[in-house]
Amino acid sequence: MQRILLAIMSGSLAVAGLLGPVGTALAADSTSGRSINLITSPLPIDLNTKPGTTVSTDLRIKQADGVPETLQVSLLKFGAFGEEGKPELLDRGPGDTYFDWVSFDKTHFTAQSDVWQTVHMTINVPKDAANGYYYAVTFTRVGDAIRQPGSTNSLAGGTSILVLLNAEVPNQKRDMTLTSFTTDHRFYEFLPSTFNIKFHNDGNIHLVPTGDVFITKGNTNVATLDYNNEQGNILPNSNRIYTTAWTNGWPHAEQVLKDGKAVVASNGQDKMHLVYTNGTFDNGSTDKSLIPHLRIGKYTAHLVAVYDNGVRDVPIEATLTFWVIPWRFLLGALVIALLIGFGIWALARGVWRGVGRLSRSRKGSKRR
Amino acid sequence: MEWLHRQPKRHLAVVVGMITSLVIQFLPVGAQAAGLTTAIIRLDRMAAATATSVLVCANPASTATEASVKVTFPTTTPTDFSLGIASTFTVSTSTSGANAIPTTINGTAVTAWPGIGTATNVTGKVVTFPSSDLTVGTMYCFDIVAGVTTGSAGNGTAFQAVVATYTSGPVLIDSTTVGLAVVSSDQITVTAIVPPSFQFSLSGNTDGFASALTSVANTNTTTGVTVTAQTNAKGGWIAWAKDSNQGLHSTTANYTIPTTSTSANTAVAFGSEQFGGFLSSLTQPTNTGHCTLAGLGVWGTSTSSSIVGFGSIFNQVASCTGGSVGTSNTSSFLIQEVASISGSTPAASDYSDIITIVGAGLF
Repeated sequence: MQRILLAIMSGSLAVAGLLGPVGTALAADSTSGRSINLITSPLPIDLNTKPGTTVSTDLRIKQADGVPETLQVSLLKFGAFGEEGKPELLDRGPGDTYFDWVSFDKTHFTAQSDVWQTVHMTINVPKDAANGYYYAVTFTRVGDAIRQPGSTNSLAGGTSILVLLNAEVPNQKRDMTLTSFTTDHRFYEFLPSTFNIKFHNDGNIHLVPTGDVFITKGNTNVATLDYNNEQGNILPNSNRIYTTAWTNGWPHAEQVLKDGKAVVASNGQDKMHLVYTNGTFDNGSTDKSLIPHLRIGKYTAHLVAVYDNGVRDVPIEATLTFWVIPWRFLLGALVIALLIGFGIWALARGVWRGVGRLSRSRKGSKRR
Repeated sequence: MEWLHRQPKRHLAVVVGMITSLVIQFLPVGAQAAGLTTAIIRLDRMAAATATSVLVCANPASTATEASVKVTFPTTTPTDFSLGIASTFTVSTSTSGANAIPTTINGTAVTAWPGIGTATNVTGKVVTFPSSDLTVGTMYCFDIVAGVTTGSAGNGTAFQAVVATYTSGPVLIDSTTVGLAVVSSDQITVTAIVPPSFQFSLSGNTDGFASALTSVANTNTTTGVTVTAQTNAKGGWIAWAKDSNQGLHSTTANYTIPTTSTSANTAVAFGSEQFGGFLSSLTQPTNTGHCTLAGLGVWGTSTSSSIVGFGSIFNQVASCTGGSVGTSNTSSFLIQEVASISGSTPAASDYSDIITIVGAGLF
């Protein structure tokens, strides 16, 4: 009897042992092959506080998969990379103790489809904190980042909310230099002309430059272009390039569209075509407001940038010149002018010869 | 008649009064102005001390030939309206635009007021407009585009206005008093917040190779997963990818087909071990500047194809800048993995990898 009981028990354990992994595998595999659709808000988050205080913010996440999902929250950091200063997502490094300042009211939770969930993020900023800390709070679906059976790769999709924390201390270094102010070309046949404004943050806290590019021809201002309306930051000790384009010219080049999407050429650039009007009004008439804006000649772009150094707004200025020469238009106009000139010349010559013939015939008749 | 003899003066007065009353009944009565059948004055702005256009409508009751219409605005201080000079009182009878007249009023069709034009005279608070003859029973409207500024807030008799029609005489034809009201505030401010948001989706979370890996074919690609991003952040969005195994790993063989360079495209060389990916089928919305696929690899139909490794840290794979309109509507791209093996790659049926793709709205 004992043997039978032992056999039953060991058999049960064996079954349980088998079922365990199967059950786990099933749970882990429950998202297999399924799409993931995550929406986060707001973005990014800019927090300013003093060392020794606590600051918190709400992060909102919604999934739109049509079924409940279990989501998880994880913490990364971000920096800036490359000449353009785009954000770079990074794992926690060995010395990144500021990750320990952060806590969430929930890190795993069930999210119903199309229902916003709020995750409360709290940062206990210690007294010795100073300047900028850059967090990336990432949301992913539980069960996505696991090994799939067979030769199937797993793709775990996630969204990240970037959080910029400024631990305000006296004497923060808020300094920035203009690295370059350029156009993509010196000569254009038609607009748009694109201006690249590259800054370097020489300080130890993120900065936001703003300003305008004034386009003048001679002493006349013909356009004012904003840049960085979105108030994009430059992280410390990094570059960032802002671009703005002058498009208001007749004609000007625009993206080629197909099914409402921009078409990309084989060289990776947007396909462009010339546009002669601003489209049509609601009543069907053509918007011809572009037509007076034939751009031709030498133009000057004057950049006026401003950033806050903590005491005052610091201006930065730069100037460049560029040319707009619609050479095909000019060539066409020259050909037309030549044709007209030739026509006039031919007409005048015909008249002159006719007069000459008439004069000669009159002289001849007088002689007779 | 005895009572007449007793109080002759008193009774004589009574008799004269009675006779006078009788005579008056038969005297010819002078012409009197009638009220308009309907008269409407609508202030388009009811706020105090505010310039407003004014809708004037009338349905005449009399058959006389109209030559002008006079609108009398409230006159009692401090509720009186401020009026411009006559030339400022332009009018409209259009049925569209900001100063449109209605097409019906309470189910009655409206006719543009004939002959109406810019005011010819302003005297005190009375504004005179030219008019053509009106037909009894027809609702006429016109809109005073400019010239009127309301007084202080309130209502009641001090806020009454008058619409009156006149002949060329000018003799009054029809006249109606209309009550107006002026309020301290006639507008509500509607505020709303559209928060910045970022939507990121993957069409699936698994991506298998269509067939067993070989060392010679160039078809060792997965079917791919479409990554879609949408944001209203003016800075656009960015996506990064990271490879958990730094290659295609087999647990049973305890072997990893290593990932290729993460910093540059690597030409596909079948016959040697490689693992990486390429991005394609980028679609981007209009006027958003540029969406780019970074380090994307190029997949062709020959050995000209190239791939890029995903790496152990997050590397940027795609981004869209905000561009001119500052928003990035739906953009998408296809991510596929590619692997090739050498003749000595250990056989196993569980080579796989875990790739994490994270997107974020840009600051």
